Amino acid sequence: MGLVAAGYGVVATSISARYRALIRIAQAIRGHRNPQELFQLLTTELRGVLPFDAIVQFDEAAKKVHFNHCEDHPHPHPESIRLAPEDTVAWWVYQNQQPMVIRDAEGETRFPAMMAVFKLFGIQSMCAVPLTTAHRRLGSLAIASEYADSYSDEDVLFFSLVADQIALATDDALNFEASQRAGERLKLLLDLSNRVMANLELPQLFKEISASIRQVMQCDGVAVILPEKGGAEKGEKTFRLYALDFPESKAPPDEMAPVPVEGASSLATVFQTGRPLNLRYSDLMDDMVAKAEGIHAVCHLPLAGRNRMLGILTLGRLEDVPFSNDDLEFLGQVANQVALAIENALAYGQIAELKDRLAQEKVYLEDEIRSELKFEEIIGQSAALRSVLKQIETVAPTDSTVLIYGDTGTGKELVARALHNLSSRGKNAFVKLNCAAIPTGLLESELFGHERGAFTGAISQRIGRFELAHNGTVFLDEIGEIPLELQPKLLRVLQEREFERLGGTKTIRSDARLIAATNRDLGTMVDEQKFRQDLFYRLNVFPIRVPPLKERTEDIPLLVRHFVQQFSRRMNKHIESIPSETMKALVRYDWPGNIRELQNVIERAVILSPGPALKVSLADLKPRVEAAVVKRLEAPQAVENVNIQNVLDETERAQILRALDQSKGIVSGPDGAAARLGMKRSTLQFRMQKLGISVSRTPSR
Amino acid sequence: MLRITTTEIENRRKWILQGQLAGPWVAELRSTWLGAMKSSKCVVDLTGVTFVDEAGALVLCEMKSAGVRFIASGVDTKHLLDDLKKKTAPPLRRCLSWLTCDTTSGKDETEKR
Repeated sequence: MGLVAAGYGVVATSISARYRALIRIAQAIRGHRNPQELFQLLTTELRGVLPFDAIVQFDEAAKKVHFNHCEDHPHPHPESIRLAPEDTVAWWVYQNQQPMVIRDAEGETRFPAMMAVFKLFGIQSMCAVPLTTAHRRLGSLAIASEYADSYSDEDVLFFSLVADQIALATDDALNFEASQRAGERLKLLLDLSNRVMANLELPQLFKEISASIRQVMQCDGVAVILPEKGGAEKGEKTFRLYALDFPESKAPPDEMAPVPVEGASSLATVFQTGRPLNLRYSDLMDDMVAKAEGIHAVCHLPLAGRNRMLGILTLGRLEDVPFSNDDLEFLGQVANQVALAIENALAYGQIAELKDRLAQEKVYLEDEIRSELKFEEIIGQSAALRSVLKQIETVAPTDSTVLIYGDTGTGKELVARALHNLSSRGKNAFVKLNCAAIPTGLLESELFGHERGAFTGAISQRIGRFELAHNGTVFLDEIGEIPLELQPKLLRVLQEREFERLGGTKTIRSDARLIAATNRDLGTMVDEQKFRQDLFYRLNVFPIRVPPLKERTEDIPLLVRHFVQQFSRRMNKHIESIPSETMKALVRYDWPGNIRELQNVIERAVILSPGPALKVSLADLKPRVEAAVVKRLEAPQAVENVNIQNVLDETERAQILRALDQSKGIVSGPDGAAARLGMKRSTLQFRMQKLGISVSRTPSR
Repeated sequence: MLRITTTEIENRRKWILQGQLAGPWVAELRSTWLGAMKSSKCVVDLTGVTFVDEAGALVLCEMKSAGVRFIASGVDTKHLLDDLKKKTAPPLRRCLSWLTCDTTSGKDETEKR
């Protein structure tokens, strides 16, 4: 049943028509989740059952009053009406949660600002109801008419029912929106975490994450601002724009552009206090950038590291929608993730820088070691040297322990280095230790390291050679000098590859290959119980004997020429020839000190050579050469076969018998044999007894 | 390392080598030399060379066969150049720095020679 309300045409006012309309509204609003669309729909639907010319809504979330006139009257545009929420009936209804009816605006004195607007639009009466569900206040809704006394009690009741439906639908829409937003935000956090873990390149990371943040936070611009590296040390703080995602910027700044941060500016405040700053339109009046870009809301968040401020994350909106507390809370978590990324990237950068520096230092130091008076060339043509090199090439690629035998100066360390370089460990450390050069008490600490306080003087932790040589090679020179009590620990490293630092309880594993060298006969040492048998067998897996120089005399000319050229270059001398007599003498010499001795002799010769020909002091080589020649010429067999002790005994026996013969068997007294031999009687008697000489009878010969 | 400098004087190309002719620089010299126009009028100055390994000696031998003349100083380098004529197996000349698990070129080439 219809009723013609003043000036509104047919308006359905029967209960059944109104409730049908209510059901229709309820169905319609269920299909709309967008609050703006819903508001438009209501305006249309309600006009069929309630008379009104304008509709007013107070949105609690936005703290805004929306005024919507239904007809195109020659009135001012409703958007141009700016009313403080507190001045409106809608606000009062929201605050008091009660409906309110203004029957005639002419006589209403409570809301003067709003009544002035009513007058402007020709509004005469109004009905306002709260939009509230059981657990949430959403705002209020009002309808207004250009006619006085347009709303009966029944209208108010019906409008309240409609408002309840709208409140439920709005609540539902808001809940849906909130849950969607929460989902998006969680996704953003997860996305951030993944990117932070996977990406250590800051510029790329910032570009990727700022776009995601902008989208999820429904803002128009995101920027990451960091202080310039090293600025703090210089006593100044220069900030730079590391990333900016602001597609609608009118004047996009360059990447890494400096950002002015004055003492009292919002950025400086955030950086100094470490607290977020939420700026509304009214706070941005003095901000030139915000003004130029038309930004209405800004949020600055501190990027705080573990113990320092790293930078600022800034978000901006062109719309006048300030960031809510909920936004700030979530953005705080986002800022934490970004700060973590920055800290990781900075730490990674530092590590990479240190690594590069260490690598450069290593190359420099290796070069410096090489450039010292150390030779690292293997030169020769003897079968003995070729055999050693063959053995090196055979065993190097394996991980076997190698024991290098050889006299002093034969080049055992050179062999060890060749083994290391030719192995798959060649790019890792070669750690050398001369066991004879370290005091026995410190050897364990040198080999296995020690913990702080392990002994008096252990002021800090020390890494041992085995730990240093992890994945590399340990070269233990003079292995025979390792004390017996330390040998089981060495054996354990070889067998189990594990050990404990001195004073430590933690077991450390080290994959270091051992190469040992000695000039002693370890087999004899085992017999004499000076070296553990089990360790000896463990070391003696692949023995390599480096021949002494006297066994490879054909290599001597090559070595001599090599050393002469090297030393003359270092000493800036021009030695262009080696006399053949000199070379022959050098080849003939025994070289008990082997290559080390040869090297020293050549160095001295280069120093002493006045002209272009090498001059070696043959006097240094001659005595030994002559002695050797004499020995070879006169009694080569005797030297090899005769026991020197027997010769001495025979000589002594002959002398004693001769003296006894001259003294007629008398041992003591001034003419006795002891006096003739210049020794004490008791000494002579002891020697005679030892040699089986008796004075009571004719001495046996 | 090895530095290779080339100059052109009176239609004669002069190569100046400085440093170690060993390890990876042997291949570098070989490719540079093969890349350049092979000319019998080429002179190689070895006075700045501090060490020549077996593979380096082999390259020098190839260059000598191609008619390259050498300028050398020092008893070792001079002797090495004299030895290039000989047909006997060359002596072992290895440098620890370039002795790595993937360095077999020197050995192989020596054996081929």
